Amino acid sequence: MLPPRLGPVEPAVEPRRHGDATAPFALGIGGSFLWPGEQDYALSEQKRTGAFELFATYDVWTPVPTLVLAAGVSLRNESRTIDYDYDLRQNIVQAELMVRQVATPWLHPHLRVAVGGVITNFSRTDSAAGVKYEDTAGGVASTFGAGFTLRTPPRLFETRKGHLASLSFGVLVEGGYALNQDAELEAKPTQASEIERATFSFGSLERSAAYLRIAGVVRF
Amino acid sequence: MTKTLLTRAVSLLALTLSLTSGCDEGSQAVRPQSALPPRSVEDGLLYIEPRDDGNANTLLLDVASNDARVVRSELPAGTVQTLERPGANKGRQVIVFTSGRAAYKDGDGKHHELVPAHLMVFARTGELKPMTLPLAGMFGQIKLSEDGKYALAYQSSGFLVVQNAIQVVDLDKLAAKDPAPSQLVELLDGRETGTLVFSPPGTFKRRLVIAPLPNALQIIDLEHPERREISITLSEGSALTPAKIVFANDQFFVQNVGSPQILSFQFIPVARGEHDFQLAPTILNASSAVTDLAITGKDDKLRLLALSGRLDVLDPRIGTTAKVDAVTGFTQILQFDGKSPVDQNVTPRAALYAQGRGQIGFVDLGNESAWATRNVELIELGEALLSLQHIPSKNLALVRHASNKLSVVDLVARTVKRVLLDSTQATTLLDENAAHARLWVASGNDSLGSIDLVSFKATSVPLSFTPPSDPFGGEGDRPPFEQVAQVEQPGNLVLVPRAGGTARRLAVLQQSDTGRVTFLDADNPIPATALEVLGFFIAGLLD
Repeated sequence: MLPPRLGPVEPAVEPRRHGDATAPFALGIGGSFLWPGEQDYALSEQKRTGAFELFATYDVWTPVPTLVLAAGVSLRNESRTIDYDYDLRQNIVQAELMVRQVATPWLHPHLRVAVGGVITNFSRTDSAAGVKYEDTAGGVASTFGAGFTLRTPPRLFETRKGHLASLSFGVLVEGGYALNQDAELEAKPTQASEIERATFSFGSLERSAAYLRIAGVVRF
Repeated sequence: MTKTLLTRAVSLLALTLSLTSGCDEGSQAVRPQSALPPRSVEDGLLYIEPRDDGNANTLLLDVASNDARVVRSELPAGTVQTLERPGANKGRQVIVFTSGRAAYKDGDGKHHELVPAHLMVFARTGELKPMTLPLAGMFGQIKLSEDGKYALAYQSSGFLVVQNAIQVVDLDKLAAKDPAPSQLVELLDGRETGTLVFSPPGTFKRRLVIAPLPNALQIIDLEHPERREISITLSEGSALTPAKIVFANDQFFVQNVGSPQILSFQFIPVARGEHDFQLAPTILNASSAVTDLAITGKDDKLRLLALSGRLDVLDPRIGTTAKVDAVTGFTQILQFDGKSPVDQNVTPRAALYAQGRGQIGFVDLGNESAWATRNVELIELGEALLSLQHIPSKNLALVRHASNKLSVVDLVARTVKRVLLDSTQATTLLDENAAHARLWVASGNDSLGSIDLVSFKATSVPLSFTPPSDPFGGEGDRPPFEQVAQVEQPGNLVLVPRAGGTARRLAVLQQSDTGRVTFLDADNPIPATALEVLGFFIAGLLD
């Protein structure tokens, strides 16, 4: 057994200091209010509808320290059933570019442009006749928006060991216009018949709409 | 500070999600499509779609080709009535009548002008614009003459209007773009008429319309509606209530409720006066209160048949000439010309019947000298009669009973054939134009059959409908009843003339809230000739 060493006590090692936390990844989840041009697809007098939003971006270029270009993908899902009869489902998948300005540590204004595709499924159930009409139509979708993100300051969640330094949470608010191709939808019965049939068109569904997107964002 | 910001951000995200998911809250429910039962036009059907705002649209379903199309148009304000246009365009054109709407101020203080009643004519191609006529004001009812030449709007309404006014519209003049196709007649008798009776075209010497009122007749000369109406008091002593008016060549006869008195009015041309004719009255008396009145023969052989517990035969010039007994309990007369089982001569005969009675009595009217001694020949129906429909082209009578049975009476052979329907709710449609009169019977949504009323060959029409499936998969997920519009009762049937010729389609209207009709060739009802038209109420829904 060695005798105890005598002498001065060494000072404790301080945690390593990082630079300003870099956080290239962002994941967002939230919703959108949509104001279609026609009165809610002519189905009711309701003028506003809603959609679920999911998106992910990665910061790809920082031309100047306060300006960031991010690329990403977004998914918008709209699903509505009205009075058990009408059912409208729309899925929009888009690739997007977002220019973000780091105005302050907690406020990041941005511009966003997205292009992709939209698939619409529309159905009408005739419960009295036992007939269901359904059609699906695809098209080109694009989005033009501007907004800002309010976020927690950098390094707020950093542990004593330096973990989670780049983690931040924020709220994204964005307004803009979703410019989507109209959908021509036929009232096609889902049941077959052996006699000749005449059916009609539901008409043209306007899929473009002004929107307000509000989402929670986690950046790391 | 940081904690506060984070808390607010999370709260905002939660609010966003809750608003997004609950954005349907407060929205108004979509009203189901609804429509009144349709009328046939040539190669199509005309529906009326009432709207939430109290107005209505027409929906014309054009099936001239198998690529069916829909044409909608907006109607003027007011309650809508549709009538089959009689005469040459029967089944091919529809008269649409809107009652009009009074002026009013809405909740925003905006003034809305009075909308008068409108009369419109629709064909397969839509509204015939030259035949659209705004009337002089608001009217509640419309009546057409049996040849489709005259339309009368009556029961005028609104504030400060003459309530007993009648507007006479000459539809032939309207079609010919005559500058004055209509005339407003303001009756001097202050009472408002409920019914109107037209003199039949080609029978009576003058086209008249008679408004029967308690103890009075108001008569309008349709050929000169600008002339003042003729008002006749029926009785100075007792009040008579007109029940039925029958017309001969130059006379008409008025049967009165609960009275043995029959009033005869002789048409007499006169050279002077406001009108160029007079109506000379005569009173005829039957044995007791008359329940039905018919005429047979003409000129000197014109006879009145008055059913009054016995069958009184009256010569309008001299009164009763014969009485046929043993007809107690009969209340209605069906007069027809035909043979009998023992007489091959086509002569006037009568079938007597009554609602609730299980017999039909036949009286031969050909030999006047024998009438007094002629017994009534009775045939048994087996069940109480509910209603009787004459099929003149085949000298048949279709008798409906309260049960799910029909009887077909051969008026010549005096025989009865019983037809059993599979339901008391079954819908029937008589097609008199068929080479052999055919009775169509629909029961439920997909069951259709027909029976030839001459050969009694029954046919089940094998419609290859896909049986309705339950799109909800279970009772628990069904929408509430009130959200399902009952557009058509299942199995309603309409005959739809085809363009040119006499071909017809049978339209089977099936229960649906989006529109479902199957058209069949009425003379060859097989699946190969059928066309199922689906979803026409939701055509253009998104436009």
